[in-house]
Amino acid sequence: MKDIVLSGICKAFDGRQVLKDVSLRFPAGSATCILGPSGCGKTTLLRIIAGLESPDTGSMEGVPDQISFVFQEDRLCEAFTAVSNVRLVSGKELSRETVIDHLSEIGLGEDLDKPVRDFSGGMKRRVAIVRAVCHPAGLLLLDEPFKGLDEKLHGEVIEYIREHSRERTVICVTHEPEDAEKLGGRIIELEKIGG
Amino acid sequence: MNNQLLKKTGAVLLALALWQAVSMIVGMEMLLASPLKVLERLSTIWREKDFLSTVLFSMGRIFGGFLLAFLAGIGLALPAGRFRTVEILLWPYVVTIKSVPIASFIILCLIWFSYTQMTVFIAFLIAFPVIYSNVLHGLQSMDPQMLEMARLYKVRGIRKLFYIQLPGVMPFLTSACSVAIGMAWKAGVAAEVIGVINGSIGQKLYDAKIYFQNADLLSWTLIIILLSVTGEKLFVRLLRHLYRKAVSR
Repeated sequence: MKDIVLSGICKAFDGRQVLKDVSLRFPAGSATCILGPSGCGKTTLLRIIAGLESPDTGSMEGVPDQISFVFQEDRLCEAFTAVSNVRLVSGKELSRETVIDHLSEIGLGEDLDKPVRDFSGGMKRRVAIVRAVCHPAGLLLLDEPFKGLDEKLHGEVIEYIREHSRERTVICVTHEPEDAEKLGGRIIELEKIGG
Repeated sequence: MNNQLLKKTGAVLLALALWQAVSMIVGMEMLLASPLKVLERLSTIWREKDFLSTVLFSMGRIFGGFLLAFLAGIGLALPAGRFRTVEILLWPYVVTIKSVPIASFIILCLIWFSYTQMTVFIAFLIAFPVIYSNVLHGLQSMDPQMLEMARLYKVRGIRKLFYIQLPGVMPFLTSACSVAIGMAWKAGVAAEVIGVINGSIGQKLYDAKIYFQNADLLSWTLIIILLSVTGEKLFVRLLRHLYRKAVSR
């Protein structure tokens, strides 16, 4: 696993500059939280790292082939169970029993047979997180992953991510500096261009 | 019985009363048989020795044509949804099938095929564009966020089809099947009437016209409606059941 290095990343949408000359290093196997006001380009930066957006200029190195992403939206297969949603991306190495253990660990053990469309917002969020954690990827990207979780669950989910992501690089976009502290990572603050 | 059902039952009874009244005013059963006369004919028609074979003959061919259209419609919409070139290559055929009058196809079929195959072909032709267009539309209106998720997690091939595309397409597919089954029955029976296909429901309608047996004509029409509606409900229910069973694994 290599450090992820961004050099001189710029990105504009419809003439509006969102990222300007962003150069960052994310050490391999470490956690980093990105903070900043709305519209400062945090999500865009994650999407560029994931390869979902192309930067206008700049380069990236060290991004692994396999990436996990907790999007701002849950993006789950609503008609399927939580186990099916996770197994869709978890690969053959992870058994059904292990997936059930993961779901049970963050309080979803009672609802394994229900389609996720019957889940509450918080439950769906946790399924999306388990899906990302169970995907065998060297890089875990989290875009406001704790949105919609109450305080108790928030703590449990951070602990769950920490526990299962020790060997991978984690980049988390959040509004809460405490999240960075709990995830045990460093903090990077982005500023809004012209803000 | 809820209020809505009560109102609908009332409307049906009123329509039947109107039919009875018009029939009495016309006063000739051979022009317009009364509902009572049709009911009386229905009570005997199913006991005739060729009733079951006639129903099975038409039903088998019409449903066979629909099933072929179902498979071909899905089978071609999938690559068309994935590759714009395939969609463009198929476009002239689909537009032609959609816009050419069904009577022209029936006449062409009378020249090209044996009479017994014609019903299958006509049912196929009428159902295919409905299934194809709806499935294609369903695929093209997929949630881009889900497609992006599939791309990121490298969900491809059959797993993408089953988990991501099928759930999005199912509402389009079931409504297409509802419409296509009804249309296949209408066109299939029309083909049988024009081709005067022996042993078919169409032939029974043709005979009723030749011998001015209005009660027979209306009785067979009611049987067609019953077969069409029942077939549609059963097929759509089966489709939903299979889908639910598959996703709850």
